[in-house]
Amino acid sequence: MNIRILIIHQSAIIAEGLQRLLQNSSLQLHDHLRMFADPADITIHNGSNYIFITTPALFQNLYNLHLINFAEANYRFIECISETAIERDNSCFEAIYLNDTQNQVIEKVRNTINSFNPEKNNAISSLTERETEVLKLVSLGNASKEIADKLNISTHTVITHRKNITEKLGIKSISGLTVYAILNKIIDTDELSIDDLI
Amino acid sequence: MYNLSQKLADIIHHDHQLLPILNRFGIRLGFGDQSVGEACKTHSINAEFFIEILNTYHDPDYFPRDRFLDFPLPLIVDYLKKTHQYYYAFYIPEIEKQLNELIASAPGENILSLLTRFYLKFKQELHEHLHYEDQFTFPYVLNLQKLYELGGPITNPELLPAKSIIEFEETHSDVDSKLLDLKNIIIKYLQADYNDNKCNILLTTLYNFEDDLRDHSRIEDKIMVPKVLQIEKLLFPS
Ligand SMILES: [Fe+2]
Ligand SMILES: [Fe+2]
Repeated sequence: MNIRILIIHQSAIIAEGLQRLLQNSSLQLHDHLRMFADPADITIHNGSNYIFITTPALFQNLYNLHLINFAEANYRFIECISETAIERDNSCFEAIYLNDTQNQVIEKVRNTINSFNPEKNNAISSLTERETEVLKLVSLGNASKEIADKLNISTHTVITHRKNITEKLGIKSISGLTVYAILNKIIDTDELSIDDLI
Repeated sequence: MYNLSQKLADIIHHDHQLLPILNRFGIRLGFGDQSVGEACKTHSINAEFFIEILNTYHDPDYFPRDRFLDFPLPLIVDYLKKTHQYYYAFYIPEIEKQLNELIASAPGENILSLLTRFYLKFKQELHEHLHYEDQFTFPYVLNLQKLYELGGPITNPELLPAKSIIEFEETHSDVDSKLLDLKNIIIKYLQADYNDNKCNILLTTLYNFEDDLRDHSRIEDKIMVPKVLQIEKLLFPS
């Protein structure tokens, strides 16, 4: 699962402590976990999922700095130990307190991780019949509009199918999808020249 | 984060993926116990720039935009050009070589040739992109910088550029996503009787290239383009 967890806090003790605590847990975060003092030093990658563990003030700061990228990113905010009175910010997903035990902290982070597409995590990501049809037509070089006409559905629906196919397979480009379709015998290469397809 | 007083050798021991960065700046191995600062002095390298490049390359989440925006454009463009040269000289032919070796390891598997077709398509697109930047984008940026140093705004209509940096630098996402696709096809969907070790070598190279490209595009999109836009605004107000 592509989730990056960023701890952002001015207090080195809190940041280091949290990192240590999460690193030594069963969450298996490895290098998905990073620690920062200054929101300005962070880059937000398009298409990644983020969990920010930080104070409301720093979160606001981060948000303002990366407005454009936030529009395309999927993220959760875990409030953690503000310098002011402990007050649960209502835009946060979870809140970590100074006197939380290790297990409490880990559970809160685990909840947050699981909140990203819970149903997709469990389901086997095989394509539905309709998606397979769409994939076949995409591989044969049809544009969304043409696929809509052929299947008698709206272009909007085709685009949704295409989005789901890409998400399920992890393949975005048309020629990549064509390779997948040939590998899985969704299109028959005996009748077609591969040269024309890829 | 690495700093200027650390020994270069220690940094490489800690993250050997940084080796090609050293080469791009003209630092070769055999630097003994030199610190980063000392090595930069020996090679007349802008040390502040070098250490920021090392740090951002090392940590994909670290990117001090404001500090980067302070560096002069020719310095940034020079680094980007060197990176292109490295892609031409190393990654692009290397991946093709490793792909061919993988295919040679499984003589009966026609399916593997699909990968080559896919790679060649990616290679062609990447070539076009790099070539366009080398031929048009970078010269435009450097030329603009020269005009800027002469003082603005520019009133002579002959000097007005035909298009803005926005039109030069189109999206990087096509090239990036093809590389990601290639990896996923191999990891998730390729069932063929090939040599495992050859496949692992190829995948490692693909991962490294992907990281390198991502870092490169990020400098173009988030540093070079905004800096040029700023100059365009000053030189050609309207
Ligand atoms: Fe480039
Ligand atoms: Fe580029």
